[in-house]
Amino acid sequence: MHKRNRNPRLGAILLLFTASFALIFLRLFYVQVIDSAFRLSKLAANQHALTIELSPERGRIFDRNLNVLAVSRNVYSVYAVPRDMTQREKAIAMRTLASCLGLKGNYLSERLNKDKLFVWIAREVPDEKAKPLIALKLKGLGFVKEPKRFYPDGTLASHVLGFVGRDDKGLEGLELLYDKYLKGVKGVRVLEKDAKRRMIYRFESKHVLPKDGCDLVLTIDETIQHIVERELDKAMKEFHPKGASVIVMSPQTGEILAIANRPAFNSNSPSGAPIDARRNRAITDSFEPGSTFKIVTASAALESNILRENDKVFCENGAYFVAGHTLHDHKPHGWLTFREVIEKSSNIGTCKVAMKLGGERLYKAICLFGFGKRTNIDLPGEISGVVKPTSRWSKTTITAVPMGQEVTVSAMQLACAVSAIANGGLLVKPHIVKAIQDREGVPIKFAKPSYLRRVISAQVASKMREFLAGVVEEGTGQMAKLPSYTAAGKTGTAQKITPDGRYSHTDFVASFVGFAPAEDPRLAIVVVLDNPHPYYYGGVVAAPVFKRIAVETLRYLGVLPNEMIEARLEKKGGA
Amino acid sequence: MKKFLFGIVVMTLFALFYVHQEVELLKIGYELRSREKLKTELLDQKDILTYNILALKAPSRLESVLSFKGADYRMPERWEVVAFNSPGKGRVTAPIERRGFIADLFSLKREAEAKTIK
Repeated sequence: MHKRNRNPRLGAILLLFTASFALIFLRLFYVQVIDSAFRLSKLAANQHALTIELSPERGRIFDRNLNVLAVSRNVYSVYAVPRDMTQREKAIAMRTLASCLGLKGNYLSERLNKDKLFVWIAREVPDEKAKPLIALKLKGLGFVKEPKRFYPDGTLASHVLGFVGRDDKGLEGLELLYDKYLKGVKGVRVLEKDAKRRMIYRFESKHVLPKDGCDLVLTIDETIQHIVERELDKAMKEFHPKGASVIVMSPQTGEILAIANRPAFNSNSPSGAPIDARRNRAITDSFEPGSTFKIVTASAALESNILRENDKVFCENGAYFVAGHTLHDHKPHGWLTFREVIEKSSNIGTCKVAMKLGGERLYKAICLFGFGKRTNIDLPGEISGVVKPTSRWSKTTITAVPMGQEVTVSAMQLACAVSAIANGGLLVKPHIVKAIQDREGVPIKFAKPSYLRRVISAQVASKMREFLAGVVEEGTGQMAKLPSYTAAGKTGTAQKITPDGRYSHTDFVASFVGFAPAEDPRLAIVVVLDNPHPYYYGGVVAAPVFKRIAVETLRYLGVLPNEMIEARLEKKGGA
Repeated sequence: MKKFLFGIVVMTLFALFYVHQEVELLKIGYELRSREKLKTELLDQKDILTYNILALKAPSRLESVLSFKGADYRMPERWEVVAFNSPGKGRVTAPIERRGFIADLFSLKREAEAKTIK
């Protein structure tokens, strides 16, 4: 039998190789099957996959004629990667950034010497400054595009529009209230990147397009808003009030054509403005309306039929002792007709009318006109004002409320009340957003005029329009008389309350509420000036502002002046 | 053996074609990327220019420019407005007298007449 020649050395080598291959195989199996499934594939995916968040464009805001009031644009922001930069590169970057962006050396040194992978150098840099910087291709500096909100006309309607924060989120005004419509929906794109971190479109695994935000179309008219703001600026220069508000409204539909407040701010740079300047005073501030409130008392008296237009009221020759204190008129009057009481704004006459009317009926009328409750205009921060129920009235309240004391109202509430008189007795709901539409201009929501309730009958409204036209023609509001149109309105000069709770003799709120043309009102206007000086009477300070705004707006709207209407009627009659 | 070699050649060609196609797709992807970047930049540029136009025609800016140049624009007063009847219904126009080409040549009247092309 053949004896097998066994070489122990060969056997050992064979064993060694077999063991080595077995180890390699096991390792390969571990790496390819086990480790790959649980760890390596994830690591590779993290290295190759690139997830890009696609930001939607924030919706635009238009005026009623589709003029752009707010729009979003992409602008550059500059960042640095200090860990990737040598001292020499940092020095070059500091010099260049200081000269291109006008940044201070200390600030740049502090930023670039941080031991971090990412630091912001400057946000929202204008293109003309960013582009030369990009062209220099400095090492360690990077640029990203971020959306920024722009308001082409700066301060125009800034209180209405509001502003957005760095994250493109609405913080004030309509930007805040309609943020959910304006902001849109983010999209996402997942694809792979190469060694140079470039996107490889071939390996796109997910692509969800962003949905841009909806556009808002406002009832505001850019031109009317400009007229209002310009006239308000003139009034600020002339009478130096602490603050001022104007509302222009369509009395038939409740559409707000303009709202302006002073002080104002620039929506493009809101951070620089004091908080006081950012307040939309027309809806967030309440004040004692003074004599403008007599329109409510007079309407209630006419509606209750307790007095007629020509019924006489004795005005006590300027001083009337009632409920433990003496009531004064700014001018002494004897016997006046009810109409003259309103035209001449007699406190004593109005007080006597109110006493005849009674507290309950007066309170009911005040509530019907919408005072003491928010108008629910689509703007944030509206206040309701203060109207005490009759159960909380003191002995003197019946002498104070009829002439606008012991009640506080907002300018918006006054605008709605005067609109009710102008439109025939219906309280309209004010609104400022006409429509919400998608980017293709297809409307999603429409605002329709909505009447809340009838406040006074059409006959009483008509009579009140005559009374208020009389105020402008012959009464305290003569400075509101328009050159080519008829106007109606009521002046108000309210004493402000001092910190110790007394009525001030130096600080006043001057106001004028009115509408034009008197016979067929197209505009209801409220002008409020807080603490004007040296003049403080509503008829002297606020009425001229009303006049200038009304006449220019009516001309702009193409409303025919009286004499042209008369000429046409004559021609028709003649034919 | 021939069949085997033919098979190898076909497979190699197919593999090369596949690789070539993949490389071409990648190249097109890079081209797309650069064009998309360019498109975004141009759109941003357009947006900026549109915004500049909006800012330039803002009423407050126009008014400040006009007042700086001393232009005194204002709404007309009532005595400065002359009302015309709007054209259309009821507007009476004199019929155009037609005299013929030769007669028109010797006409002393200057007339601008727009002819309708049918």
